[in-house]
Amino acid sequence: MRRLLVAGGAIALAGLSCVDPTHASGVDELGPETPGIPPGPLHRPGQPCLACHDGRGPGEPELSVAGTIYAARTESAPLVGARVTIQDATGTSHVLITNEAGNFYIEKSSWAPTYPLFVRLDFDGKKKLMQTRIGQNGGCGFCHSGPRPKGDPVHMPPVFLEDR
Amino acid sequence: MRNRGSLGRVTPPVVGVLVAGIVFACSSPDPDATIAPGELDRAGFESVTPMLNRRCGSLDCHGSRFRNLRIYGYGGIRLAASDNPEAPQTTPAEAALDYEAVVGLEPEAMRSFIAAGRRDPSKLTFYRKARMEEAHKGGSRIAPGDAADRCLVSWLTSTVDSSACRLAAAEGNPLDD
Repeated sequence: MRRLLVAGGAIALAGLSCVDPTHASGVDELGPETPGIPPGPLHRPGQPCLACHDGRGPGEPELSVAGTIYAARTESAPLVGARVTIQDATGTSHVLITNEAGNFYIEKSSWAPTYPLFVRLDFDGKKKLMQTRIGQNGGCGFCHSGPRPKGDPVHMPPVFLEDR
Repeated sequence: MRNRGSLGRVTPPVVGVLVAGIVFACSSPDPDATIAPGELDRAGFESVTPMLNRRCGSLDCHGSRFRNLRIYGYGGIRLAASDNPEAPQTTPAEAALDYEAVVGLEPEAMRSFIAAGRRDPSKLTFYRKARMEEAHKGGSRIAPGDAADRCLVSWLTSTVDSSACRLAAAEGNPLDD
């Protein structure tokens, strides 16, 4: 009986140790889906896509680069049909087009880029270049998030085309 | 028969190891294991900081509060809560902390590097990682002989090559036309 208990405890501990609490809390912080928008290419605009789609779940498929583009800094309207060009350290580039939600993404099975990445945005004759490199996280929302919490020295606004 | 319990198995060698461990754990840090401002060019580091901001300091890399080598400045974490990664440019106070981060990352190794005449930067982990000579999640950020490499090596080994640092920091987005 005692051996059984020890074995059971060991198995329970092993199970617990396989859970990454940082990843789990990051997923939990995203909250539930918006009613009426099922999981898919249009869901959760503005959120850090790779929190769920980085291969550790729960999102499928695994994505290498993904994000959301907005029309303007202070507006919540998505920028639909924008060209997002991403170039990696080897010089390989991909052009992704934003969908109705402003979302764009590429699956890791299609491209596993070598960091750092450089990004360019083009829409209706206007272009915008990302001033810094992406160092290791291809989920735009990891750095670019919503309104700035007071006194947050790491906050970057959502990705937008026009500064108005 | 007397039950000696688990302590009964503590032999003299084990006691010796325990005592040595306690002495080692309680020993004070070497007060001389610090880097004086003159030993590495503190003023010259002002030229190095923008290069580090550019190559290493993005928010998802060393421009994060969670990193040992924490790089403050433009494009990454800011020292002043009122600032943000987009503005202003890196401040002198941030450059000072960046200097402390680089110099204090592995003080014993830096101490040895300086004592050996500042000849071989590859003794420093952060340099090896930047060149991907050692595993680095962020990959290769400095290529041998490029502007960033000349900037860093010159600062570490002699007099900082400010023009190389400026060149490395000004590197633009290759997707610009």
